Amino acid sequence: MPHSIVAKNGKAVVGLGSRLLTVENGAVTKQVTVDQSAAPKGNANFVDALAVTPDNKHWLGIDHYGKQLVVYTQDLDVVSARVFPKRPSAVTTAGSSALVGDKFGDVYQVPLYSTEPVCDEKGQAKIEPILGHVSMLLNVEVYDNKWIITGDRDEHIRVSSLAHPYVIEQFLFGHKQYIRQLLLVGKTLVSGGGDDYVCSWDLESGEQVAQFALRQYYLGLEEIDVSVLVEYQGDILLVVEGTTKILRVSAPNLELVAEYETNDKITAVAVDGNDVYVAFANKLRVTSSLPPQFTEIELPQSEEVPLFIQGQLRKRPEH
Amino acid sequence: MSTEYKREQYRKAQEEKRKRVQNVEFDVPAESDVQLPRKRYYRQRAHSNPFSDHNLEYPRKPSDMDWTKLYPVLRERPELGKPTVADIGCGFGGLLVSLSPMLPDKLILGMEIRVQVTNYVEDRIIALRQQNIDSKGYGNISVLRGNAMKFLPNFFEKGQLEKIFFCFPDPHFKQRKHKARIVTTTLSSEYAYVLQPGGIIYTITDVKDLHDWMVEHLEAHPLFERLSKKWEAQDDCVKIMTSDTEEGKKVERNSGDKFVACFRRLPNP
Repeated sequence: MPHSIVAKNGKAVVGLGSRLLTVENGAVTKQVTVDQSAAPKGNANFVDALAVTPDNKHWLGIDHYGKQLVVYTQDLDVVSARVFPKRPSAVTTAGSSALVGDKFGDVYQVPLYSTEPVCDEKGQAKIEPILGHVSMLLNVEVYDNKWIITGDRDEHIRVSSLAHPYVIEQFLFGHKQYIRQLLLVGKTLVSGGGDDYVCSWDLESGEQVAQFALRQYYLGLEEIDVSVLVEYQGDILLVVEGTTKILRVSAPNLELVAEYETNDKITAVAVDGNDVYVAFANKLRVTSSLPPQFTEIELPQSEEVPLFIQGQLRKRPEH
Repeated sequence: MSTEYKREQYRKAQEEKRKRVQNVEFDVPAESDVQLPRKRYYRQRAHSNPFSDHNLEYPRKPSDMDWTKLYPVLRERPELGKPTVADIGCGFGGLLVSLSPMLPDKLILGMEIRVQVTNYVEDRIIALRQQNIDSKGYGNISVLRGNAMKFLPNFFEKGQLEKIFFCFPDPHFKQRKHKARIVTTTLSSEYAYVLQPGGIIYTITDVKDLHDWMVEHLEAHPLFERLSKKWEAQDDCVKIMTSDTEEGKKVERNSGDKFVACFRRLPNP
């Protein structure tokens, strides 16, 4: 199944099971298989958290079982693949650096295109983290080249100085469940995860601007897990894990603009200008306007990969 | 009567009492001889994993904390406001009890992750308040069950604290457990966040390796500088920390060494 997409300037990269594909003009143009040597028996190794570099000339991804940050050329040739001490769970870029957050809660800063190893032969990091949470990190973003914003499994959104990451500027309190998605839209931060609402924040003042309640749109659903938050023409597209609907809300006030029904469960969404790529359980479609008028992109067969499924991040306390 | 049963009964009785008197001002002495709690009813294993999803309560944000529920002294002296002294991993409360009369104009909060130990400290504070009704003693100390490593910023606002104590913390000897130590470079940024510039971190341990570790990591942090032995000698809190905790007394009895290190929180760059 297609589990991760990124798209820029008419080209998209799709993570499809153990492969990565490039898509142009509505068709798959190249396929590469992800290195399977680190995968345990019976599992397929895959690359997700796909992103584009600031120069728009390279792609980034996280190699799951290899615990690597991988940088690719436009045509998916590997420029660098660096192993991190713990599996990376979030990555973003800041100038010519990549900021990598891991499941242990640490954030490392490395030069984007370097091949210099991050770990020694024993798998220990050779560099110190620039900051850390005592919790699994699920998001890292950089705002205005001055602040690092990190979201974790213990409901914290932390804002730290980029120049001095040990200086915590503030915390944004408001969530009761893990933070899975952070999206920057201008000076606004939008956050969502295990709560049945999404928040927007004015970063400069640190104040919450709005909340958007989700329950009413998902009446049959017991637990809500926000799996997609992306920007589309100044608005926000939102998808809840395991559902077929795309919600469109305004920024920063989070007012409903539209609801788009599709007829398959959505796994990933990427925006490239006016184009919206939507990945479903076993299909990939693209539309150049909303409401969507999808054209289908033929995909080869693929394996299932174990991603964060609904409910894994939610805390289930024992005592 | 088996010890199990007796312990159950004792715990139940204490639980009821805690619920009844926790937030009440004492203007009448207790109904009978007030007994300090007995440790043998509060036995619990010493280690608790700070990374687990305990069934913890914590406020969503600091302004949600109602400190008047924990500090009876606030009813008479609301100007004392919020706790500015924190004892992280307060154990059986020895330091809290000693600091209370020494810092009468400050609110002191103990945080402890172990359930039974927290209950013990609560009971101890209740009993002390009842025994000292006339002088209205011990109204400025309190304890909360909490995971300080994860949720300190939920309880305390930026720069709220003047002092943080780490007395005889869990050494987590194994290499792979080092991240669980209460002082690490990354976590020290959170301590810097809740401490005001000029605020002090106090540490004491009988484990030399842990002492060296804490010194190394706090000295490496750009927002902390180590205070001298001369400074330690003139500070009253250092004296109390060295002699008045249960762990400290145990170390004395076993003729162990105690290693002290104190750090000042520097202003942001």
